[in-house]
Amino acid sequence: MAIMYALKSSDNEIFEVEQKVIEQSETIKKMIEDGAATGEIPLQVSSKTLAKVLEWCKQRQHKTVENENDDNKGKRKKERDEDDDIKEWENKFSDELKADKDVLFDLLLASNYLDLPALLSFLCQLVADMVAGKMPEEIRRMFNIENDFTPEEEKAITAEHGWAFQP
Amino acid sequence: MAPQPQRQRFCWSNLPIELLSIIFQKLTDCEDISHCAAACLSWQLVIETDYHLFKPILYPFVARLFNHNNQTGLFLYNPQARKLHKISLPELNGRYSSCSSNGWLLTYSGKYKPEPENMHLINLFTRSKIKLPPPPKASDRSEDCRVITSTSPLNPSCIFLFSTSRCGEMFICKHGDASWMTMQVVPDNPKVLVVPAPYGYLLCYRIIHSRKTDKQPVPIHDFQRCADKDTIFYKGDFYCIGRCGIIFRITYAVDSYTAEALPIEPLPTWSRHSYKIQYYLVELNGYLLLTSRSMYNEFNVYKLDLQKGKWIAMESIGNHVILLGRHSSTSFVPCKKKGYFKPNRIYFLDEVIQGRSSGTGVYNIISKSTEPLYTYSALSNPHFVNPSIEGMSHQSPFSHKKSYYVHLNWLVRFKIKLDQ
Repeated sequence: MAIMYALKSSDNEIFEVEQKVIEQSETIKKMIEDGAATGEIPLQVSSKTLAKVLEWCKQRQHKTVENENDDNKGKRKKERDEDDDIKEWENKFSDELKADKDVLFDLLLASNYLDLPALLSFLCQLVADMVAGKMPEEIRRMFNIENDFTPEEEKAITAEHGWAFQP
Repeated sequence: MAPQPQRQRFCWSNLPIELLSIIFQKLTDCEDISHCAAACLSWQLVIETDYHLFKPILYPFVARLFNHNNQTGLFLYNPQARKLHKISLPELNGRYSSCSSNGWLLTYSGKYKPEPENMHLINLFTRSKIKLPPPPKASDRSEDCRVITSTSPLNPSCIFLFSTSRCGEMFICKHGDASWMTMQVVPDNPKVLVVPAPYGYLLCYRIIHSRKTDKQPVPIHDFQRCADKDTIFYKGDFYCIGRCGIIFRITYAVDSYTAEALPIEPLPTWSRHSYKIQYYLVELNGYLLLTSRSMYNEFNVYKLDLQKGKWIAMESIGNHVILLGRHSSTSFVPCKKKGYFKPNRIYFLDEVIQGRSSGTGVYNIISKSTEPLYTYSALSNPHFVNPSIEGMSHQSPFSHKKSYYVHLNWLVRFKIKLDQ
């Protein structure tokens, strides 16, 4: 019988989750160990983002459980299939995040706050891939960034022979 | 592309800096980093603070100066990204320049000879300028002059060694010196005899013990020609290896510099083939190494063993990479993943050995085979520039951060080129 925990999002939505799934988060694991987790665990994460976090955790959990149950026979093929499955899942997950950058932003913060290194690394790679090959103006548009260089600084950057920073 | 459902709430300038830093560390192209640095102030600040962590810019470049149609500057080829960058350096117009220690360029006016004034070291990335005393002797063809520095030239305790390859003369100065100093040669050595000769030359003799000629001094060469092969700053002193195969250590002692021949047996191949082989001194993992390169690009690596007085042949250089260049060879440990540079290899560039162009390539020390090194066809007479080594290999009083500013300046500079 799996132990269930109730996670409460910042907008007061309750998520019932298995302990094994949620223990991937070092932050929550610590809260459970410290005994702070009686009843609902309040988290500073919105329900929309928390749903994404749990989606990720469940996928990871699924993967580790299956690996444990594997016997050697046919493992290779199974692994290969699994890899394909995971890739497909990750691609879908990334595409959703790319379409809604607010969730991506929030999910980055959440993965940091909940101490989920694998998710954090995955997301940072995703953002890096999005940035790659883009010009500064495109990056600003994509990530809702305001050009906050003063005209003088801009001038310093773009002046023909100017160097923005002299040591 | 899917249409944006609504305007974004979050501005990504406000993402915490530690997260931004992780994102930027995942970038593999220096151009991408420079574009991010140009997006907004907070992103720029993260890159400014953390860019020692960014992999692509820690890779060496292949540099080649250009001068055509009154335009002067530098091509930098980034082998990692397989990209060629052009940096315009109008300061070099009408001046002679040669690649000096990492990231610094020696430049002076005068078409055929260095003129008395205006000798500078200039940093390719920051354009910092260091004024040097007038050239000690204007007898050389200008392009043969090199300056080897003990640390970053910005360091107030930096020592400069001026070498003219053709005549093989060497002079030394410190910051603030008005002129270059010649070196005293320590004559006493059990294996090498150095005696003064007319016209200020010093002759080296090798003392050979054999049955036929008992303790017969054999003249090998004059010290002045010793700079001919290669020079390096290693653990507090300059070392130079001469055409004679003898290694000299140049030390500073009470207002004078002394050059002392080390009691190291020259390589057995030295006497017969020295003119066909180019030798490079390189520091690797704290050891002083000698890499020999034949005109057919066969390589051998030797490690200096001062106690045994020998060069010891090395079978492997482990996970290191050696980048060869006259007076500027370096070694480093490449990134394991995705790296362009592979361990246990020697990267060499085109150089004239015995009047012959020797080609460019990668030598695998284990398999003893050579692979082609794609650089860029227009890059003749190139040099490796390893900006990340600046200030790292030597104990400079400047913090590491200082040296990384060099990168950033370059990155911002770089952005200019791209946006135009």
